[in-house]
Amino acid sequence: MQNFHYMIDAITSWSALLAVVVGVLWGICGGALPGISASIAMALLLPFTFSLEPMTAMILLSSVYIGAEYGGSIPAILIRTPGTNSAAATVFDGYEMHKQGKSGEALGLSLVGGTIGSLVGLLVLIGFTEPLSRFALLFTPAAYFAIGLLGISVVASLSSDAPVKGLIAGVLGLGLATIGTDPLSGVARFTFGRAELLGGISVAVVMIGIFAVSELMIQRQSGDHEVDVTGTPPKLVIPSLKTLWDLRVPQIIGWIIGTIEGAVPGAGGSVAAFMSYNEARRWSKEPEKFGKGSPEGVIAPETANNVVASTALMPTLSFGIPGSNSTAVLLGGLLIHGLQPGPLLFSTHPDVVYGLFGAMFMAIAAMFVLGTVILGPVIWLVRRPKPYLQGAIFALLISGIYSIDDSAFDVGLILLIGLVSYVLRVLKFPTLPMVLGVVLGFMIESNYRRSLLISRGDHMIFLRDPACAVLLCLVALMLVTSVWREMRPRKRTPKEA
Amino acid sequence: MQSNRFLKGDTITAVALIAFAGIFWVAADRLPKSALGGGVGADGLPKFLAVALGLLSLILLVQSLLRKEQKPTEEPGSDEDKPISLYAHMTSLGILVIGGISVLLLPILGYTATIALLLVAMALYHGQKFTWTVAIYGVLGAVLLYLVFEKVLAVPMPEGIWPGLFGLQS
Repeated sequence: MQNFHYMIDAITSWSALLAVVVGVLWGICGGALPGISASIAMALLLPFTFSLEPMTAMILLSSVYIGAEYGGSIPAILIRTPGTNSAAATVFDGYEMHKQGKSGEALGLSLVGGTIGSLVGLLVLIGFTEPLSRFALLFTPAAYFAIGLLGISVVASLSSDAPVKGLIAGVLGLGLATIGTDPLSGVARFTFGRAELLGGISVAVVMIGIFAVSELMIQRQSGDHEVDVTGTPPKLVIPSLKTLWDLRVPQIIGWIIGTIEGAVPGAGGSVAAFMSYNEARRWSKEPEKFGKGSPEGVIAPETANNVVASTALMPTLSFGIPGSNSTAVLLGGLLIHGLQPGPLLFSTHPDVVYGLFGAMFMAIAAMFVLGTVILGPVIWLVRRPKPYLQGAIFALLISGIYSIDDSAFDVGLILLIGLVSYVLRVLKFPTLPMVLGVVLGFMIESNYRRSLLISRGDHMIFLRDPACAVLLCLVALMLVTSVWREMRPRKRTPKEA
Repeated sequence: MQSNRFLKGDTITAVALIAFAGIFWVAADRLPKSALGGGVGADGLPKFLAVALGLLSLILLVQSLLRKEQKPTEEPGSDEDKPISLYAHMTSLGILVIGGISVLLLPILGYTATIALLLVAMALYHGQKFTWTVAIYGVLGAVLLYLVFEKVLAVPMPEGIWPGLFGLQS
C-alpha cells in the first residue's frame, strides 16, 4: 500500500506533471527527428537533470523515453525514414498506407497500439521487477561482479554482428570507468595530472560524447541534409474499438515478443519490432497484404517496441544492468543523483522506483493525449532545414555540458569522446557495450575487490560461490559462442562465391 | 559480407589495440601502490582489462587475417560497405573544430556571442548560404539558450570581455 502512495505522490506534484509534459513533448519531437534517437534525446537532457530532484529527473527522462517511441513512427510513416531504430519495421506498411492516403489511420494505429503496448509493458514491469530484485538480493559481491561481466557480454554479443568488437568496446568502456581516484586506496588513476579527472569522467559527458557528438559527425559525413515532406499534415485517425479487436492477434504477438525481448539485455526494440512484424505476417489471415499497407504490419511492430520501452527496465532496475541505449541513459540519470540501480534500490529508495512507475503511467497517458494534438508542430519541425537542427543540437549539448560544472574541460572531453566513438562506429564497433562498461565499471570493480577482501585475496571465491560460478560459466559460454558464431558463416564464403 | 576494405581496417585496428593494451598495462603497473588498496590494488582491474583487450584484439587480428586468406568477393550495392572518402571524414572532423574553437572563444566573447557564432557556423558548414535568415537564426537561438540557462536554470554562463570593456564588471 505504501508503494501505491509513492506512485500517487510522484505524479500529483506540479513539478512531476510539468516534467511529464515537457519530457513527452521533447521525446516525441526528438524521436520524430531522424538522427535523434530516444537515447540522444534523453542524453541531451542529462545536464539539465543535475539541478533537479532525483524523482523529477527520473520522471523527465522516462517521459522522454516513452514519448520518443511514438515520435519515431511519425517520420517512418510519413517520409519512409524511421526516427528511431525501433520504428524501422513500421516503415514497410506505414509508408505504404501513407501513399494510399491513409497516413492518419497509420499514425492512429501507431499511437493507440503503442499506448496499449506501453501499458501492458508497464504492468509486466511492475509485476516482475520487485520479485526479480528480491532474487538478486541473494547475490554475493562475487555474484554481482559476475553479473556485471555477464551484462556486458550479453549486450556485446547480441547488439551487433561482430561480438568480438562488441566485447572490445565493453573493455574500453570499463577502462574509461577506471579513470579518476580509486575509491579504495585513493590513488589517482590515469588523470594525467588534471584535477578535473580526479572525480572520474561524468556519465553525462560519456553518453553525450558517444551518442550525440558521434551522431552529428556521422550525419555530416553522410551528407544527408534534406528531408522531403510534401503535402498538408495528415489528420490523426484514432482506430475504433472494432478495428482494435480485429487487430488483436498482431497486438498480442507484440505484447509477448516485446516482453521477452525487453527482459533480455541487448535485444532491444528494433529486434522485437522486426520479430513481431514477421510473426504477425505468419499468423495473419491476409499475409499477402504485408508490405502493401497492412494495418497489422503497423500495429504489430509499434506495439512490440512500446512494450520493450517498459520491460527493458526490468533488468535495469532489478540487476542494475541496462539492456539498451535508452535504459543506459536512464541508469546514468540514477547514478548522477547518487542512486545505485539494483536490488537495493527497492529497499533504499522505494519512493524513486515506485514514483518512476507512476510517472511512466502518466507519461503513457500524456503520450496518448499529446500525440493526438502535437502532430502538426512535429511535422513542421521535421520540415526544418537540417543544418539549423544540427546547429541547435550542437549548441544545446555544448551549453548543457558546460553548465554542469562551468567546465570548458568537459566540453573538450565530449568532443574527444565523440571523436573516439566516431572512429569506432566507422570501424563497425558497437558503442552500447562501451557505454555499459562505463556505467557498470564501478559496480564490477567494487564487487571484485570486495570479494577478494572477504576471501583475503583468494581468487577461488569466484568459483566457490555457486551463483558466481554459474554466471561466470555463462560469460564463458557467451564468449565462446560469440566468437564461434562470428567465425562460422565466414567459412562458407568461398563455396558461396 | 565484409569488404576487403573493412578487413584491412580490422587488421590495422587490431594491431593498434594490441599496442594500446600494452601501453595500458605499463601505465597501470606504474600506478602508486597503496596499503589501503586491499589484495588487488588500484592497478588490479586496469591490468585485467589490458590483458582482456590484448586477447580480444588478438582474436580480431586472427579473424581478419583468416578472412583475408579466404579472399571474399565484394558484394555490390550495400550502402554500408561503400567506401567513405577521406574528404567525408575530414568534414566530420570539422564539427569538432567548430566545437573546439567555440570552447576557446567562450571566455573571450562570452556565452551568447559564442553560441550565436556557433549556430551560424554550423548552419553554413552544413550547406546553408549566409543570409539574414541564418544570422537571425544565430542571434535568436543564442538569446533563447541564454534565457534558458542563465535565467530559467540560473546557471552563470561566461560573460567574456564585454563587462570589462564597458566598465560593467561587478
